Amino acid sequence: MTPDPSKQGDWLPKDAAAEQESEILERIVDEFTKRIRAGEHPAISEYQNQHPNLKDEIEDLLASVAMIEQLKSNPSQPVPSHRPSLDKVSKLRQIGNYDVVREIGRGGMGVVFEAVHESLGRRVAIKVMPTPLMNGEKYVERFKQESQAAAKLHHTNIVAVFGVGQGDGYHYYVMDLVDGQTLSDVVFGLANTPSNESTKRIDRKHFPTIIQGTPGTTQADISGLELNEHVSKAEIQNLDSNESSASINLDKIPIGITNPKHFRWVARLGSNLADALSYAHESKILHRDIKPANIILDRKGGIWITDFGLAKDSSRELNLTQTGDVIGTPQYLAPESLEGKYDQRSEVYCLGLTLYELATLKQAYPCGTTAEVIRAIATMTPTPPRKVNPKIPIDLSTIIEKSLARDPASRYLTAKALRDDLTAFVNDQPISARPPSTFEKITKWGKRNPLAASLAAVSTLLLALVAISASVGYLWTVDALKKEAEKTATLKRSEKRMQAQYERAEANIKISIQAFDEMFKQVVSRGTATSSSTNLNIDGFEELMGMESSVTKEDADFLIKLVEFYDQFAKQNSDNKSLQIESARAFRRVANIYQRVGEFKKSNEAYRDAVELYNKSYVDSQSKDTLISLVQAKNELAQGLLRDQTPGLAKKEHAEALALLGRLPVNQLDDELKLEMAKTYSALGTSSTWLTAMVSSANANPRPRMFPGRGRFLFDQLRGEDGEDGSAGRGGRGGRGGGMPMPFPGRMRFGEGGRGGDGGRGGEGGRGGDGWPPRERREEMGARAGAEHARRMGREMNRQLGKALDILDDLIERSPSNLSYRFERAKSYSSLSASLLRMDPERSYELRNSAIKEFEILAEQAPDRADYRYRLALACWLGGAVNSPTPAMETERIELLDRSVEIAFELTKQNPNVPDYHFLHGSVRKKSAEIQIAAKEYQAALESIQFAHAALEQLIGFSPTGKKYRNIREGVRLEANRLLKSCQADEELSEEEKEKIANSAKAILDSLPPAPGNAPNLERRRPK
Amino acid sequence: MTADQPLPGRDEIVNALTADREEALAKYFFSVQDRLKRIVNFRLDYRLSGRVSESDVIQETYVRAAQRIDSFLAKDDMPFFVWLRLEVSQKLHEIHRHHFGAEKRDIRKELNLRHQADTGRTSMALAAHIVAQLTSPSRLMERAEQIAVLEKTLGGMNELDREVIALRHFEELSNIETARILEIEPAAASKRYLRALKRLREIMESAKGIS
Repeated sequence: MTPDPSKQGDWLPKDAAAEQESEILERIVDEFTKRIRAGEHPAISEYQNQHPNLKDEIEDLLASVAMIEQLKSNPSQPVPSHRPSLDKVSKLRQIGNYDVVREIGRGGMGVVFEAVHESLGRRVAIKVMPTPLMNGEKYVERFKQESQAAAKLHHTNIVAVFGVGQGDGYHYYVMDLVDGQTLSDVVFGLANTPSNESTKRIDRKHFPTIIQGTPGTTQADISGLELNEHVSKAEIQNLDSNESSASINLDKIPIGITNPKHFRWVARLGSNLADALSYAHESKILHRDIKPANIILDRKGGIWITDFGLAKDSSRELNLTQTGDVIGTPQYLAPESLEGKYDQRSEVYCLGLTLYELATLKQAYPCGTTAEVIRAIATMTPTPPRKVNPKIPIDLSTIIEKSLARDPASRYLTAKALRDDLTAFVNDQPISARPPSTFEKITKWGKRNPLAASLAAVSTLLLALVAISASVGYLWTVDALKKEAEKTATLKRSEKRMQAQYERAEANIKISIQAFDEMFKQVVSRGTATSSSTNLNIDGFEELMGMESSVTKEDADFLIKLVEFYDQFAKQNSDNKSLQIESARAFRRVANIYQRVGEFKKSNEAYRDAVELYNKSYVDSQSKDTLISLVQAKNELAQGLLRDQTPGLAKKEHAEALALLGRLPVNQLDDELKLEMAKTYSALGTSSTWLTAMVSSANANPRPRMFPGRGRFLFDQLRGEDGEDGSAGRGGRGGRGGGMPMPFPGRMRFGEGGRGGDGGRGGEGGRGGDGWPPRERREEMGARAGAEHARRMGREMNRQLGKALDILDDLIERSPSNLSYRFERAKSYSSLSASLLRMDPERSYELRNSAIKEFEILAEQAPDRADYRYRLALACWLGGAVNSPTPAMETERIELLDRSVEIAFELTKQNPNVPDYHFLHGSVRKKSAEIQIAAKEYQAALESIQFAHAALEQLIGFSPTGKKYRNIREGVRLEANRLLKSCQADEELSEEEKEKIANSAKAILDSLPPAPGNAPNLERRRPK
Repeated sequence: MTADQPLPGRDEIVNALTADREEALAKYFFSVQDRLKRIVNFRLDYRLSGRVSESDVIQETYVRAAQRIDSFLAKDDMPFFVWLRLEVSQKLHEIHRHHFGAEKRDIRKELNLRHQADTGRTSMALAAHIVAQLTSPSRLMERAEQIAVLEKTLGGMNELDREVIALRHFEELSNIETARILEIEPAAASKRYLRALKRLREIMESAKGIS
């Protein structure tokens, strides 16, 4: 399509002068851009002088261009625009009061010269850097301040700074001339020397050849090395002469990495470096960029830290990868730096990385793309040094590992402390750092690193950009085009164009939304027991598991940010038919996020919006996909309503979902829809289960109860119901736990069929409070009050779950290999088993066994599906947690419990970042402890409590304010207390054993003071 | 700044292609290879970095272009480079779909809507591009400030303005090419571009805390 020449005038300014002005400006901008790209530093004033009448415009435009061109640079083409300007800089013959002798190195950020002071004759190295176009003055000012601070440092291991200055378009840094090579070169040389030499020496003769990958050791080669900024004159002479006698004088240093002396040497260097850092830190100066490339080994074996005060403007770091590509990566970044935190402990970390590299000759975090390296830093711990090189002495390895602790608080807190340990190692004295004990390792293994959040931080930036592009940009584009359309006479043509733009904007939006969905999924799948491969749609059972536990605090923050985007998007576009589905989905995401963070009211509102839009869209389109979404959204809404203590309304949503499916002609009801139907029946049944459980437990438990909405396990509920048990659940569940005691009936709003609950409460109101009535009494109460209602609910639930099972049986019969059908069925077995626990223990027992069997088969067929094993563990736990109908089954019960312990433990080890697994693990350990105490297996009980305690700490680490964890917390306290009492009362135990166990139990209790408002009299509650 | 040779006019290219398709395509394609790489580098989804290389995309684009020369010849007024860019962008779609498409049934629909759906990634690409440069802690923090400023700035611009800036500065296209791709008149494209730059500056100035 060629622009219609007759219409061009419409786009041009009416005024001919203005038209001309535009042309001039376009030309100026174009030329300025080209010059910057060619590496020049054109002055804005140059253009302003040529066109004084356009002074302001030129300033505005060119400043923008300069910013954009500086912000972008092509990673695959290293420093393309810098090099020519460095060429310009490299022509300098006189810098300040110094005469340039020669160029001795060049890096991404500047050129290093050897120079001589014109009057004093002192030989120095001068690093010259081009001044950035943008904010150049401020930049140089800051550079000066920092360098001047650095100039005050005087230490035998710090390259002295003599001064700084600036010239036309460049600024510079004058420092001591050190004759040596950087540690990154040293490591590279060592790592690439044939390994059959027992003692390696750094041989300057062939060293640069290795780096270059081509023969020849001329000065041109050296200047081509991006990082070789510190190559001294002496070296270059050596290279030029190319004589073996010119080898750097490192003979005395044993650097074969199998040689024990090598490690002493590493430790000695480290101790010197740590001493230098410690000195700088005491002078309140941080280096900010400690890495091998900034450390020089001189010809006499002395070690120097260079570039103090330069780090702020340290430019790209270049690494030679295997393929020879040069990619900038942030490899020497302490994990907390990703969050913008940086202090002396970060420098301890970076020094640790340097020592790691010297000891292993490998980088702790290998090269890769920036994203890969950041991800590695944020999520992974480097391979322990001794695994890379078993010859590394244990103590040195321990020191390095301690320096590299992910948590800054676990490192050496000062460079001085690191120095002291390194010195102790050199002198064969005991070091202060200890390898972590097994228990510490267990505690630490899953310690979710807080830095995953930093990844989210980076994503948040991307997020904000996309959000803006999608929501604002879209509207603006359409708006702008409308205005243009008004202006132009050829409306029709503009309309066509508008339509095209409009469609494109829409397509863009869809892609943006997709990018968001990607992030959403990532975050969401990270926190839950559900593997990321499964559909995000959460089935009812899973909801009951207490979803808010699944989200860590960082993720919750991140999700809330997503909400802003989705919400804005959905609201802006809900009138737009072609974006209706996307808007509905956005509302659904908002709702889902709110549900995850425990904001049920907001969640339900958003779900209603989503349902409404899906509904509209379904009415228009009658599309199957939309129907599925609608049904799912309704079911999800129902789960939210359950959580918001309106089970009647929840049931209504489920029922409507079923009605929608039921309205379809039978021939349209394909397997996919049938599965949805089964899920809906199952959810409906489960919500009935909940009602039943609620009613009976309200009747069985005289204490005022809060509705089990705040993140409870269904199983806790069931255990509570059982009466005998409940040690774990009770603490966090009753009116005491939630911080908001609420009599049960008052919170209930039955939409239908809920009156039984109130009726059941009738005679019991006055009984709440003290003590724990004996079992018979409770059963009597339960039986008297809520039994009828419970039975009714039970029957209904049975019917619904029965229908779900019928459908699933049918589906499975036709597609026996479809695992998701079987998974669904096994879950239904579990639900049914749980709900029948009291009413029909035998059937419950059978169903539970069927569920276990099914989950076992699933776990076997898909061993990579953690969620299958998680369900298996849950089912086993359900079996193990409830009391056995007969004593003969007690053995089986304990076996099941052991099995759930085993699986849960394994899951937490394999997936340390999933809170649900830790919650399960904590819960099963707690239960084990209880049984072990009863069996007088005190030592085993202590271990179980310790594991439960460790799980609790994990959970607190995920979300320090999580209410849900009180449950486990109270459980741990309770069991520790019981252990203490039981072992003290046990006359068979020796005093020594008693004391040992009692001390451990006390230690746990001390670390968990009773939560305020949550301090039940634990002793009284347990008659044992 | 680049090894690219200026392309001859459309007529000359058409003649050369008619005479010897393969040789002519290879010659002209090669002469703008770096520019195409820059586009790939900019538009390739950041999540694919490490999995798909620019050169792969360029190679595959070449194969694709070779098969579709007729589509170029058939469009009388299509500048050669704009056509190549379109082929690159189609190739990128295929790649993105290959990597992300399996899980998304929507994307196929979207692609039918419009060929150039990639432009919506402008902001994403901008940000990813910049984030990919971060190299050291100090750099990271410094850049974070700049990104924050840019973020604000982009917030005040509309999609088309953003796209104009992306095409002119990140793909390094000329005004004529930009106009062609956006399907607006060159004068309008230029006007838009200048306005966008000015807007950028205004917002930049008003954004506090620029280092």
